[in-house]
Amino acid sequence: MVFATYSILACPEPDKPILMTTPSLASPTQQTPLLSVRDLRVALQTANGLVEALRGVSFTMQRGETLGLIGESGCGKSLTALAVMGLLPERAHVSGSVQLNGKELTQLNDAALCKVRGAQMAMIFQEPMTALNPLHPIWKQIAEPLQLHQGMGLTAAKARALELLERVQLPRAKERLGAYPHQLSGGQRQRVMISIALACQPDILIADEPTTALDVTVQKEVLSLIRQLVAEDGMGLLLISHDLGLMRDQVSRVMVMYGGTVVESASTLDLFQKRAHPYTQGLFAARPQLGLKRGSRLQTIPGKVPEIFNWPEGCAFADRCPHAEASCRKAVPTPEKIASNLKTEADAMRGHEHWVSCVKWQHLEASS
Amino acid sequence: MSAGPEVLLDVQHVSQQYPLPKASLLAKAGHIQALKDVSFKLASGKSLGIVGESGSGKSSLARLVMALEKPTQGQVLFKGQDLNALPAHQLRAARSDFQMVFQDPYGSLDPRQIILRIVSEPLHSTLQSASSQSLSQQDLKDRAILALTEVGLRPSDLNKYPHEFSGGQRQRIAIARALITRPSLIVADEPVSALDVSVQAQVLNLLMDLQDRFGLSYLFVSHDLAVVNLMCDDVIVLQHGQVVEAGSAEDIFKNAQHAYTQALLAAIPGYSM
Repeated sequence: MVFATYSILACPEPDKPILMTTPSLASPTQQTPLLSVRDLRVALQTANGLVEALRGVSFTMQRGETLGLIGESGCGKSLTALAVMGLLPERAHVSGSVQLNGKELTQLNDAALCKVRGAQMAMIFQEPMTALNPLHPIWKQIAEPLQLHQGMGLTAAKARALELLERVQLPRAKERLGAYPHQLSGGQRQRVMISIALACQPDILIADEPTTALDVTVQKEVLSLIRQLVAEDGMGLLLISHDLGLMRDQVSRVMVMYGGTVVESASTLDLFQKRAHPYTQGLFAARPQLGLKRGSRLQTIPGKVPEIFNWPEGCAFADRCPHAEASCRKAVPTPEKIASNLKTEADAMRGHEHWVSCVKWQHLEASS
Repeated sequence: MSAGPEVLLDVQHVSQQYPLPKASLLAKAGHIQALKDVSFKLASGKSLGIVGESGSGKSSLARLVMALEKPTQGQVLFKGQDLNALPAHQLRAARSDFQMVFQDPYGSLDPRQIILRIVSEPLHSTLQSASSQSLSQQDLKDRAILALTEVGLRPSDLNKYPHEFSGGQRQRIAIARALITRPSLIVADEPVSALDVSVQAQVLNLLMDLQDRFGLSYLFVSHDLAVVNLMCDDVIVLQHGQVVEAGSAEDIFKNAQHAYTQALLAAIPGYSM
């Protein structure tokens, strides 16, 4: 338990893979990716029986990479995060593979998973009020992962908690060590959450809508704090949000989810220049933007996200898509590669290619 | 701010203080100044946006306009009438002319009541108590069906419960409830901030359609400046309970003068585009 933490700072650079690279994963020249998710499927127990809510999600993340997940509620964003963290409901059925630093997580039992969670990967939740324990002062909650994963004594853990609170720039941190969550504002609570997540210097930080409950100005502060800390520690960041503008500021690569699978993925720059999937196009068009004329109507995506037990055959978006035709409903579209505007080798190496799962994307591009 | 169209709502120099709990038994109770000398006018058929951070007094102002609280100082005139000077039963009747849509469509609908009951409740409480005339069950139902169809829901939804609807549909139900009394003013407190982008667009379009159709006025509280820019003719910016900037939405968003407004604008994610 003592050495469960794996500090990225102490990590020898590229050519020393920690574990054997599985050949099927990435090109053999690359180091083991930080996180590799392959055909992840999650089925949930519902009133309608066992229903697949995640239907084959695959992606890899390298060290220090920032990756965003966007989509409407019910598309599987949070479920993806929970599946990676191993926090799914007990009766959920998981198949596929989740590898962190080459280590398979889906097969681990609870006790083994507990050693990884909080130590090598950490999560920040949306609601800082409900995610913190109202009955414990904040320093104890920050000390908990330190005691658990690093075997720190209480005094040492308390001292470290203060350092962490200072690092997340909580004002008057020393006086506030003994404060309870209700004595802090939303932004301050979120800073506490971040310091808990960072306590053991994880390799990957998953942030699920970390600023949705916060004011715009506080949101900006919290996000720039996360970005700064991620860059300093060389962590990977998986950021979940439905705010497209926020993605543009925060992450280098974006994956768009719909119907429990990734329908488009591209570098942020690419995606903001060109959206290939009709769903991504719809999301961008529906967004109110400064500069629109007063009273102009927004474009909407007709209908709503189908219930998970009711996905259409073939492309999940077909029922709401203005361009759908018979061929869309025949088979689930496979990802196709789009010529990227960023043609540098480095981008390609990092998986910054532009992929889209739509049989008609070339038609759409030609006609636009 | 011109004398052109009829002034629907005239808020004159309102201030609002809330008492704080005493620090000790003998200490004098302090107070918090939620609003300080706020004035604005809203013409009928127009929309006014109130923007600011949480704690800036946006929601306090909405509660004052809805006559849910009395201001410590100043007056709220609705159609030239001081709402707080009205006796309780008259205020109740007057309420049919101004209704509210809340932020959280999950918290604002009673989970134990069917949609018919939820949507027709303002009719019960305002019209029936005021004039002794009573609406028949059939009238209530017809009015509820009309309100539901106006917001794009089906008459068959009347006998369902709130949990059977999605967030966007619930917000439509809340809007139907506000519309059923045919108000001239709707106070909307962050009506779309709990919704997904695409659903948000649907609800915003609906609100704009209803405004065109019924000549509604909106008092629109939001922290999302892009939404306010789209929905509102005029804007006031609140900071610490005071108006720091007021004017037409176009002027303010193109050419913000006050440092606080500029900071709010700069904080919008992706603003640099």
